[in-house]
Amino acid sequence: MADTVQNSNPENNNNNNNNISAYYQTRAAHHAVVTSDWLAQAQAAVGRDPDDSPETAVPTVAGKPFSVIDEFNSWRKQPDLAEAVAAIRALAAVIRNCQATTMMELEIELKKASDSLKSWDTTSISLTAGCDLFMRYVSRTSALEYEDFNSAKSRLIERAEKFGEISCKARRIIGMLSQDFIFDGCTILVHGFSRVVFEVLKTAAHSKKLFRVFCTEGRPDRTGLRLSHELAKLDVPVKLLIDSAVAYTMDEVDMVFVGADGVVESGGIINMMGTYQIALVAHSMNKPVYVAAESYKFARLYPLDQKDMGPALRPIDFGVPIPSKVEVETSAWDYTPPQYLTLLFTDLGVLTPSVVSDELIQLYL
Amino acid sequence: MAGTQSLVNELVTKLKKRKVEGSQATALLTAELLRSVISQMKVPQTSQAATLIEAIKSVGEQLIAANPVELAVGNIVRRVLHIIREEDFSIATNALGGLMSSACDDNKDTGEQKDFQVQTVAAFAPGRTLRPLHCMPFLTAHVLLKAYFSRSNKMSSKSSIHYKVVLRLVCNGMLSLAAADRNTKSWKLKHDVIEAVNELIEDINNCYEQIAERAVELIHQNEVILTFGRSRTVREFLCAAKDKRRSFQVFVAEGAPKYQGHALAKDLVARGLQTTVITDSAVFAMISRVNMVVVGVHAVMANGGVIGPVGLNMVALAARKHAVPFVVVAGTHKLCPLYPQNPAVLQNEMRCPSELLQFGEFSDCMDFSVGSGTPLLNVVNPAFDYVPPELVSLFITDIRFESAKENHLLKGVPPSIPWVLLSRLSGFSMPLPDGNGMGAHDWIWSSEYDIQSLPEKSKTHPTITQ
Amino acid sequence: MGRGAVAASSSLPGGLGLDNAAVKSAASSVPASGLTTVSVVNNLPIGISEKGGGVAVEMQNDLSTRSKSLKEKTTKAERRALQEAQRAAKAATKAEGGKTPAAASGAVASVNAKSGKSVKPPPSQKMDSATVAASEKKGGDRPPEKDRKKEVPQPRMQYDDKSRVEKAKRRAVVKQRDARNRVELFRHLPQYERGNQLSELESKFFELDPMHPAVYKVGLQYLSGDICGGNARCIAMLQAFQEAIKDYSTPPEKTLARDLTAKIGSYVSFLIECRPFQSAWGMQSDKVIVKHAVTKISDGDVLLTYGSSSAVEMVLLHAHELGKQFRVVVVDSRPKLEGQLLLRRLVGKGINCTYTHVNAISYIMHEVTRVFLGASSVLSNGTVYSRVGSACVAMVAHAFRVPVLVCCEAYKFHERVQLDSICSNELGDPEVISKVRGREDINFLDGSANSENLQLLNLIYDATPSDYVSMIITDYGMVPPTSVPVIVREYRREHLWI
Repeated sequence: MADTVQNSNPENNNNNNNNISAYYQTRAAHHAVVTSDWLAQAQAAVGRDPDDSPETAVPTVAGKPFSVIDEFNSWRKQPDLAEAVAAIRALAAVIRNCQATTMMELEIELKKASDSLKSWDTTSISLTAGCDLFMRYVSRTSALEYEDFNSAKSRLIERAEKFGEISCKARRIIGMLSQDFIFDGCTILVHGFSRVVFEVLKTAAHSKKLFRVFCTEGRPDRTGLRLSHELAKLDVPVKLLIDSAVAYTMDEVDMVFVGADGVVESGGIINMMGTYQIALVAHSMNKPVYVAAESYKFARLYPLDQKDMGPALRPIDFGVPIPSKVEVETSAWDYTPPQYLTLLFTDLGVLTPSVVSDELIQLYL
Repeated sequence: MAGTQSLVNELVTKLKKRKVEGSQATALLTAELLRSVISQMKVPQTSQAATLIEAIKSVGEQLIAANPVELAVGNIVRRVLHIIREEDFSIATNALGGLMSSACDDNKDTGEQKDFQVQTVAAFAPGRTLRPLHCMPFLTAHVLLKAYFSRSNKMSSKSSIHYKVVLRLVCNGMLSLAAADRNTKSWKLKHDVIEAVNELIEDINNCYEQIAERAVELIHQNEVILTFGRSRTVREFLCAAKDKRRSFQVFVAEGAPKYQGHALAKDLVARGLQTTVITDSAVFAMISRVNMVVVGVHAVMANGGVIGPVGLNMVALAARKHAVPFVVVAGTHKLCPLYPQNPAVLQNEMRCPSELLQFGEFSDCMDFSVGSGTPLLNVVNPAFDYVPPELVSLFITDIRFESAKENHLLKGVPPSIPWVLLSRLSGFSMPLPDGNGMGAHDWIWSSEYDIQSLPEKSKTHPTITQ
Repeated sequence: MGRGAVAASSSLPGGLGLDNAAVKSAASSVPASGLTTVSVVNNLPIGISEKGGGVAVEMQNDLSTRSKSLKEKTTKAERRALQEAQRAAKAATKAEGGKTPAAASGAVASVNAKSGKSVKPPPSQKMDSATVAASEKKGGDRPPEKDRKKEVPQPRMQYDDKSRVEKAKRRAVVKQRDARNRVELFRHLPQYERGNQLSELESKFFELDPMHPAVYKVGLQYLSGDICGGNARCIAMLQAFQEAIKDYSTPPEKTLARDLTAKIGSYVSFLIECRPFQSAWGMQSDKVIVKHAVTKISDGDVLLTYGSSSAVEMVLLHAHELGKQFRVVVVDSRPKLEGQLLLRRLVGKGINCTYTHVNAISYIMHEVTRVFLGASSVLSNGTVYSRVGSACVAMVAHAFRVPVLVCCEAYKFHERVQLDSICSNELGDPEVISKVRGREDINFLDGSANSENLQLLNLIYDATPSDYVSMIITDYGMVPPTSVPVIVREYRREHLWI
């Protein structure tokens, strides 16, 4: 396993050329602009999906040494799979491939694998959170002394396999929890594309609620276009805004729904660029800001301000060439402090931002 | 002239060496100096006012350069200049016998008046520098007239002059004016000016009494008042309430690094007030039990912000946190028509580090350096602090409104911040609210003004142009 | 629909996805009433905390690295029973003697709960957590509920309550006197007495037969203020106890456990008398804090600190050792001027420093990027109780949108709450107010010290509201001030074994 870690390093360097965030690249690939091309591609991808089913996707190619990062990347390519799920599946593959004979050895190997995963893409908070979470589970399992090694190992694998299900279930729970907050006739502002938020809106539409949605464009990935497209398919009245029109339309808005790339210890969130701005506008107009996020996005991070976290860079296409002397802000995320958030909908229930920290302390202490 | 120049030099040296303590003393000295400059000056028969103004301006420039942080100097110089212009104008008006006839008068002095008024118009436009518009379109004049007319209601009898000026200005705008006869001016200009300056000096001397008169309306029984550092105005204000048999308690923050709070405490104790001295660091701890903060300041800026002893901003923030009224008492000589631009640096000066660290104690660290030649240890000891207008609840000044009629008018529209006064006192450009909005609830306290109608923490913005 | 949600959630792995098995039993304790409304948010944490409790206890077993080796192993059920007992015991107060030698430090840890009340309480009253541990060890010869009753903090001693003050005085070794010219607002606090107290205590030395000289010495140092700062006092006390225990020999007619405990208990109460408002005693745990805090310092930062906090100093020194390029602003205030000592130490280590006084805080805050503060304790509502002036600094930092980081060991966290700096505080020597050290020209108050109208107030602490605090750095990592109650709970759970 030590080998794999080393093997992955050169790749690491290749992949992180120019420090571009792999996480946001993937997101863009999954949720970016809807064009007919995209739709065709997506359909093709969906058609291919069954072939890429988990069993066959595990790279057991002889001759090539197993790499947790390759494993993770192959999982990551699936649009419906959450980042944390991909991470945990990759770690499960590590367990499957490892020759350890004691729980202790297994733990050490897993630790190495998860560290290399985490350092491979530091910009993905759910990857880090997913690895941490799985490691917690492993060490907890290893503490259960009454089990022998093999049964413990298979239990871990089983759990990891199930995690994808759990993640889907979490989204469904969040969707249901939020229904009481969506009332007939309300206007909801959403920013970019978030699977959880989409689930929330879909559930509301299915339960025949009458509401309309304002979608921001979500530059530069323009993931909002995708969301508006999906909502239109559900017959939800939807209006598309450019990102700078948020303050202009805020007086019509009844609530803001955003997803989160990561929920941090302060109770604030890290999310795609523009969320903080929207939260500030909403706060100054006394509109509630709701966050929908699965609990596996809770991360042991505590940013003090915007620049406290290393930036996740992402190329931005302005459509015209930019002179080299002009600097471009290419950070992909921003941090929204907890005082601008009203409630978080998670699979643990509806939480105020301050409860997040309590949950994290109890989980990781 | 030689005699005056030596007087000027004397004051310049004093100011440079920071020998003059406090803005009131500075204001007095400046006013007295200017008076003697005027009285010793030989004025020519023609363009008396212009000569006087020139002389005062040159003296003023020297004084201001000597201590740019002492804003009272500039304030007094502007006041005196205004007095000269006003007296000159009233003489001219009387001589020509009538408003409308004077409207056709276009001498040098009205030209100056015009400049001043035009500046107010220019202030409507964004931007900080107020540049006179030399050809004023009628429409602008109309706007100005409207704005000014509605405002002049709120102002004192003296403001009627302004009204006339405006009227005349409008005429100026419409008609091309004829030349005027300068010789009609009487010799008594100088005399009148000296009289007015004497009045000004008296005002400066008496500002405490007039401010203190307000005390009894603001301080109730068993109140707890916090003050900071030492201010004669505050002392008189508090003692006045004490003399009216109000019993209340005063907390005095000592005000490092000058520790003038100790001196104030001593004075208050001598006058029989219940006084408690606290350290500056205990201000936040104590503020929750304080009913009112009363402080004296160094200067009041055009936007309603104040410059005070260092630490005042901390006190103001603490007062805001606990919704304690933050009352500034200041004589009119402290009202300054300048906007604060980076006040923390530009309206500030550094005091001696030895006030914080004793010489010798850290001398080894003070000058040894790490490669780059910069010392490892810096000591920062600023003298002043800037408090933004939104933290000030109330200004109390020594303005008197002579006639009851005007007081009545005053009640209708709450007077806005210092510029109203400034326009009256200095004849200076009136700063208008910029995009950021000036202090939303800064009020000039004036006599007869009903305290109940003072929305202390309200956000209502008194606008100028209705 | 609400039902559906609940069903789904409880069938979900309890906490965060994976810990299903570990907390299977606890997961069912999630309140069954709908998770769908805001009001449920109130219920939810309770359910979570319960299952979290189970999780956390297991965690402790896992983390052998975290020096929990002393913790005896009990079954989960037992611990749950303990927790239940803890919750149940909220009313009565019944004194019970300490039993084990370990109780001494237990008492130390719990003294903070009642420091206000403590002018001369029977020492055994302080032993709650210790006795619990003791009874647990003995296999529960008496029901744990009884021991738990003292978990509830008793109301602090109010010094304007005449009868109680009289009672306390009769019992007290250190004579407190009615001070002249006390500040009306602070009548409920013990007034500062200088010098004379010391000599009186010295004269009593031989009457206080059981007092060990080392303990006695520390007591005197506390009284005269020679030892300053929570951590320094703590270390001094522990060293004294160490000596006392070294010199201890069991009297023939007594058992070691009972007698030593009683003795140490009496030492503790003696020290409390000398220093009635010290709310944090315990062990040191700064390493973790330093480790977390340095991650928040980056090159080019300007860090501001106030007074002299040992935790903050360690953070700064460590960051400097790591080669981080930063500047420190040391803000100081009268009368203690502790910042000068810190300044000297930092400059001695080659850190670029700026020194100023608390009034210049608004001036200097423009250039500051982080504010680091120490704390003498952190209260349940997130209030940070610290050296007077810290609140001013935090307030100005907040106004300038500069993050405020409080470095504080978990043993200083406290279940008490406080809203202002008046209700509980300590009064220092008023005389130092009128004299400014090194400034002989400031002598305005020399003559009027005897005036009836003049009072000098020397507050020692103030309370910083939680909204000024961006983050509290503690042994458990970095937490927002809203999570203090969780830390208090976790800390108590972990330290039951003492």
